[in-house]
Amino acid sequence: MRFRPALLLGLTLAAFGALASCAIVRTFFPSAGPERRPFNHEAHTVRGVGCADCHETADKEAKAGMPSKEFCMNCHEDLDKDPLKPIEKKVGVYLDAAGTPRWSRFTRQSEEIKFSHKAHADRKVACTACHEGIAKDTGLLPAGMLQRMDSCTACHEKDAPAKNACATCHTRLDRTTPPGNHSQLWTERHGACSREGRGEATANDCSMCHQRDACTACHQTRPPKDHTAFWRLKGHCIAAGVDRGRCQTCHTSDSCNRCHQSTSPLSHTAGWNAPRNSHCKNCHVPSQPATGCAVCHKGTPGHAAAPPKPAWHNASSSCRSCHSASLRHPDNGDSCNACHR
Amino acid sequence: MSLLLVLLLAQDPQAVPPVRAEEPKSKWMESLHGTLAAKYRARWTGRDSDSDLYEYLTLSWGDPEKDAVSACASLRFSEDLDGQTDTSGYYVFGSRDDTYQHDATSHLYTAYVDMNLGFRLRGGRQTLEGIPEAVPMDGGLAQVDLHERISVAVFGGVPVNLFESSPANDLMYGGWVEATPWSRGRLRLEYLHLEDENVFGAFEDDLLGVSAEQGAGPYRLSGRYTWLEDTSRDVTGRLTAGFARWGFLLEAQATYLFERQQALSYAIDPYSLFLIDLEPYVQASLRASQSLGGGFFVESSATVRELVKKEEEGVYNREFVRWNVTPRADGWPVSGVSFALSGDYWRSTADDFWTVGGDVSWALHPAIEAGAGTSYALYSLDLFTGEERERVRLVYTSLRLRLAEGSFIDARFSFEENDVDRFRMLEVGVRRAF
Repeated sequence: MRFRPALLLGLTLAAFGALASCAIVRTFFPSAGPERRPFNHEAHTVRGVGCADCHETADKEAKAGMPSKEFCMNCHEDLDKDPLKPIEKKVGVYLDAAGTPRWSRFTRQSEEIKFSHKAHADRKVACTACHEGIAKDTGLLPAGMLQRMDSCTACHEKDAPAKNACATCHTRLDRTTPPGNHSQLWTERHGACSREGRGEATANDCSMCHQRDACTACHQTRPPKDHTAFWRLKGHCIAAGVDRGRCQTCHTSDSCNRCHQSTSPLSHTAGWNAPRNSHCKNCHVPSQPATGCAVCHKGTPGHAAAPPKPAWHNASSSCRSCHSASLRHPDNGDSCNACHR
Repeated sequence: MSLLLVLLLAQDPQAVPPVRAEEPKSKWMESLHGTLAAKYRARWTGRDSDSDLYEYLTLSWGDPEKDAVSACASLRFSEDLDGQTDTSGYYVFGSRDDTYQHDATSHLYTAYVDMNLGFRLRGGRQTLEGIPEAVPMDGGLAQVDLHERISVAVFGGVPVNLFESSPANDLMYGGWVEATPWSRGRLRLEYLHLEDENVFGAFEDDLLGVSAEQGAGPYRLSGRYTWLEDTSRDVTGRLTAGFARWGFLLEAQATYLFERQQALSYAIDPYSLFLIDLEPYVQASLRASQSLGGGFFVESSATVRELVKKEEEGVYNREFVRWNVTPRADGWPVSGVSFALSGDYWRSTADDFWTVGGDVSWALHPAIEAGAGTSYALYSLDLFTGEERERVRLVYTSLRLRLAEGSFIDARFSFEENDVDRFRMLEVGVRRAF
């Protein structure tokens, strides 16, 4: 029974759904990382609360600062007394057992990144220039809080090109220290990252650290995962027959010739040649290009050519509909067109 | 080479200068960087075995964007330790390296020097890209900016066919003109002349290509049209859309091959020398990737190919549909764990094959990373003798130890069971970045 594509599609969709639901499961079985506390910025901005009202040190210090419990209670002391107010809208939901706020860490950068809010505030850079959309953020999606390097470099490139060098923000640049996203399974993931975009900003631009030949050097020496032992013996023939273009990513014809010129296929075992001629069962035709024999045996004189099809045969006709199992061919008649043209 | 590797590993890691310093000139003029790796591989079945040693060296000197002179090299050494070189087909570990007379082989992938003198000169072994095909060459390239928006390049040399015995009577030359007339726009005209004499005969090919690219916001549209001799060869269009805010990327590509591709020079031959001529086809693919938040990520793609002439479908010219999906997760269920699933299904006339697999990696310690994975592949073949199924099951486990900054030891053991035999493989390697 052949594998059904619909079943595969269903399985992959199920996997997708399972992974997507993991995000919900995480709220009940959180990982060891920082706990997320969605915060509704919009609910505050529409009531006239400004950025600096809560983040008091944004224009004074490197860090913008997060409000303390006491600070929040300046307003919420009375607001939270409302018994009808949902608990998720009260300050208490953000506090741990000791009464310390547990704010999310979406914007926390790596410790090797140096960033000063004051330096940007002094240059009249608006909060929303980096935290775009934060005024409308309700906490469901951290839209305005996720900081990506390309948003930094795009602005620096336009307004402060002298400050766009790596060392402006990165305190530890070391060719032996990869970026944070070069973590586990990077071999599997880097392809998607490199394709993510190398637009006008420099983020996700591999050339920042790697010269072009680094790609070649690695891809020429590390085969894809599906290049198993079976692949090397048989599988590549099947795959190349379906889509040879994929092979061309790494291999040129001289690579094929080097091996095929000197290596006999596994099928050429005892009895392949005369007198048993077991090769007949694989082809029973002249060594025409339509068969795998032609990979190595080119133009080898063979058996008599098959008679052509009658002129009234429709090219798309099913041979089996008329020529049933009573064929005298050693094959099952599926590949009649290979010889009967 | 192995002694050099030991010496490098024995040294304390040195601080290296920034990738891009703020000074006008980088300090790379005084520093040599690269990686040196060695890997031992042992493979065995119930009756056959094989032992090989591989060494890889990549070097870079200077910054081609800042320094007047810079250089780059990449090479590989290999040695068959047990001397098994049976290529008769009965030895399951026979390989391309066994076709040489010596147990030790080497491949030089790149070795060139860049000179930035107001115009750029590059000499040595290099890979030229987009001319219109990527072709490795031993030769020289000269590129000059006629205008801030127009550049011209010419090149000439010998095409590199790593597995060809002799480059005699091989030649390549050509050039390109590139213009960036407006923001995020690019126009390019490329020409490549190839002469290749190999065991199949003498080939002479002229390839001309014109390409255009335009970006607008999150979108980028590109296209390329090529001619082989005086006949249209193919046209390719590609559209990418990246929405970083939502972690979504979409790629769509379509290709139309106009004419049957017969045997060509090695560098651009579509395996017509082995898989018969490549028949005209239309192919479209769509790839999408989405970040789901919380460290979850999924990527999927679909590719469809149809032949222009259905009657030309044969063993090596197929119509097919390919589906692929890869969900991944980082930091779940515990921090330091990453896992990825993959599913790949190829469906063509008569033959199907699909592969599913999973990989997991766990950072047990800042210096220790463990991994494991498995895959299962099923090839359903409709050969002349009837339907045949080939099954491949593979499991592996791996371990990485960080000795120091930029130094690693990697070990991997895999077990593969297929319809040919049961294969076991052990790989142990060391790697040092300097």
